[in-house]
Amino acid sequence: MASLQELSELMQKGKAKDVKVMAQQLLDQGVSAKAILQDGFLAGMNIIGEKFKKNEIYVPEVLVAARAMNKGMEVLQPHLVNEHVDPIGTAVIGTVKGDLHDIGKNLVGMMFKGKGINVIDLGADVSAEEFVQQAIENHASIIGCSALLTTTMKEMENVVKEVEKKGLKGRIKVMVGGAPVTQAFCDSIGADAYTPDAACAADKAVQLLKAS
Amino acid sequence: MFSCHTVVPFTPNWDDFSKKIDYGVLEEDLQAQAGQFFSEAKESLHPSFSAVVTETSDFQKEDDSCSVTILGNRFQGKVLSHLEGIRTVIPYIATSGKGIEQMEQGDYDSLFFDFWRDSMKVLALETARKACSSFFKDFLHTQTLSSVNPGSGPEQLWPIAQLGMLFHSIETFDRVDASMVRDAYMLPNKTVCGVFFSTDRPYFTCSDCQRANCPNRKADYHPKDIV
Repeated sequence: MASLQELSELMQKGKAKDVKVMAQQLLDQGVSAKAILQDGFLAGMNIIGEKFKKNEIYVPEVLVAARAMNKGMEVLQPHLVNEHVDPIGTAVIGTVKGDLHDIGKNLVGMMFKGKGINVIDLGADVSAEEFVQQAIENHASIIGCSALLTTTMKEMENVVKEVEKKGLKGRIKVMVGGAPVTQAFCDSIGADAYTPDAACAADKAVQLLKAS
Repeated sequence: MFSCHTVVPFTPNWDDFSKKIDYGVLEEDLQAQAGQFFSEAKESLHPSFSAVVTETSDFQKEDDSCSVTILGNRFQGKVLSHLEGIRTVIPYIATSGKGIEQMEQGDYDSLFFDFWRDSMKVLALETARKACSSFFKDFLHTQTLSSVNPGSGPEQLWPIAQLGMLFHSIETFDRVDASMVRDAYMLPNKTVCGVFFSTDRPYFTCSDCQRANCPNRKADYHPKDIV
């Protein structure tokens, strides 16, 4: 008999093919898609996130786990729709205008998905207007901005201002992160949250979504 | 004053690449893709370096920082304290080259393609930087060259805002296979711009970084010494 614990462990090890097979087995055993998602995949990604936070694992291990989860989700997706299991919210993420660094942002995207958040990834070099426009169009409650340079992090302030300009302050939360970003900087520009790494960002996003 | 631009032969080694991408954690199908990627990508990069041998002037130690003139530009930052008493410095730009950026993702896994491409570029950059360092060790008849770079480590060490000034000052002397965008970042993304100088003991910027367990850490971790 397949178990959710086993599924989570396989996913953490990046065994994509086995994850796919086991997800199907669990469905056949009558386990709900919601339980597989929450107690299998999301629980596994939580552990991955914690280990990444503690520098116990690095980017390749996160990538293999994320790939395994994506493969498993291919099996699960139609059942989630049938069970009316919705994402816990939507986040629009991107690297700010003038900055092409995207590895940190990609990790944030994976960690967000690992928490059951629907992610709209706008890529790199994204203007403040584009962030907000996409957030509106996709009914996102969170905008996640990344910057790796002290020169481009200032662009985050424009995102905050754009949200205010559109009268969406409080309805759309702006999260900021990246190597040069600090809590003091976040406070100074009036952003809603700063987190030091991708795993913490995902935890914070869940908090913000629950509070909204 | 002496300047040069050199394209460095680059024949990446599978062992180095597989270690960089953590080949062991990949499933069989991904391992096959990684092998295919390596074969396809290994000849696509032509790393190079450009450098100028020059002298510093007007070094000044301030309360919590230092300043010095290099190639006619005034630079300021805490890390420049390492240049006290040093006359000959080598501003340099080392780059991975950008041929690999034209490579199509094709059937490669979308989660891994960019990571593998970046990993290959890192190997190319390391090759360029090492070649630059070796060349100037011979040139200066020195055993140890250390490097400081604007934007590397905490902001107060050497603010990244001064990167453009250093980059452009090197660019005026010789060909550079990289470009500076909005004075903020360099393309290709695996490009380093800094200043080599001869020292008795090697200095690594990461000695001022808080990430004790970083896989790329070169310096011992002494939290009390971190600025």
